[in-house]
Amino acid sequence: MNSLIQLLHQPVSAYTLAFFRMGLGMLILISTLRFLILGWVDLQYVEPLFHFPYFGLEFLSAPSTPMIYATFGILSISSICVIIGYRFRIMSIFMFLSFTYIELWDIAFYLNHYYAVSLFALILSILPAHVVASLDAKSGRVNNTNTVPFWTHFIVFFQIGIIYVYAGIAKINIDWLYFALPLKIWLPAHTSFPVIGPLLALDFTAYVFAWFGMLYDLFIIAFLIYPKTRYYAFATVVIFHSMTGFLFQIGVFPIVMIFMATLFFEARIHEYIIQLFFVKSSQQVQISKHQLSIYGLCAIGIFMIVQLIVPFRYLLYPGHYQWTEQGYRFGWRVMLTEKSGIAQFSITDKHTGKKGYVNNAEWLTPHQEKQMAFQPDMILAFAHFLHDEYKKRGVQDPIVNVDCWVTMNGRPSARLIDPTVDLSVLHDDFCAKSWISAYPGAMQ
Amino acid sequence: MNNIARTIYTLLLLFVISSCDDPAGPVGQAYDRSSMLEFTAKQTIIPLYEDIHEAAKRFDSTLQVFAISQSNENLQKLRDQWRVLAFSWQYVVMFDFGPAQMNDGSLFQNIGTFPVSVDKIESYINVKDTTFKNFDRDSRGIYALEYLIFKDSNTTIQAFVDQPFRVAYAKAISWNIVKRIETVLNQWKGSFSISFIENDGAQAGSSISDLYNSFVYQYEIMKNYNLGLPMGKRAGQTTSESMKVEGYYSCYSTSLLFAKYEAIRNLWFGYARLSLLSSLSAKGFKDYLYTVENGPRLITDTEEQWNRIGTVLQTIDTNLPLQHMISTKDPRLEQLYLEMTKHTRFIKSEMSSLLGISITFSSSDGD
Repeated sequence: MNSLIQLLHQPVSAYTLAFFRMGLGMLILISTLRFLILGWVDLQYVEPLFHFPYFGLEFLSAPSTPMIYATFGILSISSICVIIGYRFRIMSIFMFLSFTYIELWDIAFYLNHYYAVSLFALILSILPAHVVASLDAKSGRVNNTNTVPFWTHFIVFFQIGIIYVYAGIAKINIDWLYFALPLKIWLPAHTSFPVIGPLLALDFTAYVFAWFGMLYDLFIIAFLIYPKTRYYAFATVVIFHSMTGFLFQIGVFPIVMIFMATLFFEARIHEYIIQLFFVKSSQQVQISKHQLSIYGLCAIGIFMIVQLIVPFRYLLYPGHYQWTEQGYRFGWRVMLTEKSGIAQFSITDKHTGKKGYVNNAEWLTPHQEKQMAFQPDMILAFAHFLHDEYKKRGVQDPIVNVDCWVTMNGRPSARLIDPTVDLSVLHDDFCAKSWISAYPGAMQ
Repeated sequence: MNNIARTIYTLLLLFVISSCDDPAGPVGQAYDRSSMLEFTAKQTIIPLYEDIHEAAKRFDSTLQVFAISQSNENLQKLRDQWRVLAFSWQYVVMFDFGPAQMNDGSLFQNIGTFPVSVDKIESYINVKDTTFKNFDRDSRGIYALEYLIFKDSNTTIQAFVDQPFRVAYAKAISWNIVKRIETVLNQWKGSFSISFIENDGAQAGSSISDLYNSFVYQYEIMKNYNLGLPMGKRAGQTTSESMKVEGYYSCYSTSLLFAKYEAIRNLWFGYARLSLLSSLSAKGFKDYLYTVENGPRLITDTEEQWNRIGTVLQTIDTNLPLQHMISTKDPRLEQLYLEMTKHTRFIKSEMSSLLGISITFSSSDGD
C-alpha cells in the first residue's frame, strides 16, 4: 500500500496537466461555438415541444429559452477561463456542471463522446492543472510549480484507456467480427469518398475495418504508452480518427481522441508547445503539495471502480443489450450497431373505446423520433407524455399502446414492444423491462 | 511478436473467406448513385415538371376564356383542365426539394395545401386581396381553385356572376401557380440538375437524402392526410372528417389518391415519367437496394407489401369518391390504411437503414 501511495505521488510534469486543461477547454469552447453557429441550440433544445428526460433526473429537463442560452453562455465563459487558467478551480467546476447539465436536457442527444467530455471535465475540475501556465499561477493565486504528483496523470490516462479498451471489448461479437456488420451497411454509402471510395463497397474492406477497429481499440493505449511505438501509434490514431471523422457524422469526437492521444507524449513536448504561447516562468522546481489524502484516494478508487463496472451492468438484464438497450448507454459502445425503427402510438379512450393514431412529428423532431423508435425507455417516456396530453384534450383514461418495429444490423424488422401493453400504467425503473419483446432472430 | 501477428492474420483471412456467403445479387458493387440521380432528374423530374407546367398554362388560358364568357360549356372545359393539373401535381409533389423550396415556403405548401379554408377564400375575395402575402396557404393553390370551380354544380357560375372579383381571385391563383412551377422548372433545366447529379453522397443534404426524405414525407402525407385524418384515425378525433380529403369538391379524391400512390411507387421502382419507359431501364431505390447488404431481402419484402396494397386498391372503384366510402365506413379503406401503415417499416425504417441515408434534413453529430 505504501509503495502504491509512493508511486502515486512521484513527481511528474505539471505541463502535461496544463496541456490537458488548455486542450479540453478549447475543445469545449469550439464545440459550444459550433453548436451556436450551426443553430443546433434552437434545433435541439428550444424548438422541440417535448424533451426525453434521463430516468431519475426529470427535473433537469431543458429549461426556458433564456436559461438555455444562459447555460451556453456560462459554458463558453468558463471554458475560456479554464484555457487561460483564470480562477481555474471554480471555473472548471462551472464548465463541468454546465456541459453536463446541457447533456442531461434530452436523452435523444446522448452521445458517447459527450459523456467522455463530461467525465474529462469532471476529472479536470479536481486536478491541479493551473499550477503552471495559468493566470492563477502568474498572479500568485496558486503556487507556481512545475511538478504534480503522478496520480493526476494516471487518472486521465486511466479514463482514456477505459474508453478505448471497452470500445474494443464491445466489438468482440459475432455481428462485428464474423459478419462485419454494421460496417457492411455503412461503408458502401460512402463510395463517393476520394481515392478509396470504390473500395468501400467491397465486403473485404468492411472486414478489414471491423478487425482493425477492434484491435486498434484494444491495443492502441499500450502502443501509445510504450515509448518505442508511441509515435507510430499516434500516426495511426490520426489516420484512424481522421478517416472515421470523414466517413461518419461524429462531430468533434475524432478531434477529442486525437488530442487525448497527444497527452501520452513526453512532458517536454507539452512544455514546448505551451511555452510557444506563455512566457516561461522563473519558478524553481518545487515538490507539489497536492498529496492525496486517504479520502481522496478512496474517492478516486471508487470513481475507477464505477468506470470499470458500469459498462458491464448490461449483464444484469435478460436478452441482448443491443436489442433491449438495457445497460447500453455509458458503456463506450461507439458506432457498434445500426438500428432504425418505426413507433406507431395509438390512444384509446377507455370509456368510448375510440382508438386513434398519433403523429409523432406533432411533438418530436426527426432526430428525436428516430432515436426514440428503438429505445424502450424513451418510448415509455413519450407514452406518458401522450397520456397526459390526450387527457388534457378530453380523451378519458387514455390507453397508450405502441406498435414498434425495429431493424438491427440490416435484419428484417421485429416487434420491440408488446403492442397490447398499456404503456401509460408502466413506470420506468432500473429493473428489467418485461414488456420488451425478445428478438426473434439469432443474436450473438 | 511475429507469431501473434501471423495468428491474427490467419484468423482474419479465415473469417473473411468463410463469411462470403451473401445472397444472390450484385451486393458488394459500388452503386452508381450519380447515374441514378441523372436518370431521375432527366427522365422523371424534369419531364414531370414540364407536364405540370403545360397543364398549369392550359388551365390558365382556359380560365381567361371562362373569365370572358362564364358559360356551362366553358366551366366544363375549365374543370377538365383542372383535372389534368391536379393529376399532374400528384406526380411532382414528391420532388418538393431544391428549387421547390422557396423563400416563402415550399411549392407543396404554396400550391398543394389541402383541405382549403372556405372562410379564408371567401374573405380574401370579399376584401379583394390577391397579394398572397400571408401564411394562409389554405386559401390559394390548386385546391382553392377546385373549390372555386367545383363548389356546387348549380351555383358555381352564379357565384362568379354575382361576385366579379371571384374570377380575378381565381386568375391570380392560377397565374401564381404557373409562375411558381415555371421558376422550379427553369432551375431544374438550368444549373440545379448539375449540382443535383454531382451531390451523390448519402449524408444529410445530399441529393439521395433529399429524394428519399421527400419520398417518405409524401408517403406519410398520403397515409396520414389523404386517408388517416379524413377517416378519423388521428388520436383525439371523435369522428371522421371526410371533407378533408384531397379533391373533395371535384369528387376526384379516390383517383387522386391512386395517382399519388402510383407516383410514389414508381419512384421506388425507378420508373421514368408516368411509367412510359419499361421497367428494364428503371433506375431507382429498388436497383440501389440490390447492391447493398440484405437489400435483395428487403426488395422482396417491399414488393410483397406494394402488392398487398395494390390488391386492396384493385377492389376500389376510382369513381367512388373517398368521402362517400368514409361516410359509409367502407371496410376496404380500413384494410388500405392498415396495409399502408405496415409499409412504413420497409420504406421508412429498413430502407434508410440499409442505404445509410440520414432521415433528418439537417446534420447533427452521432457516434
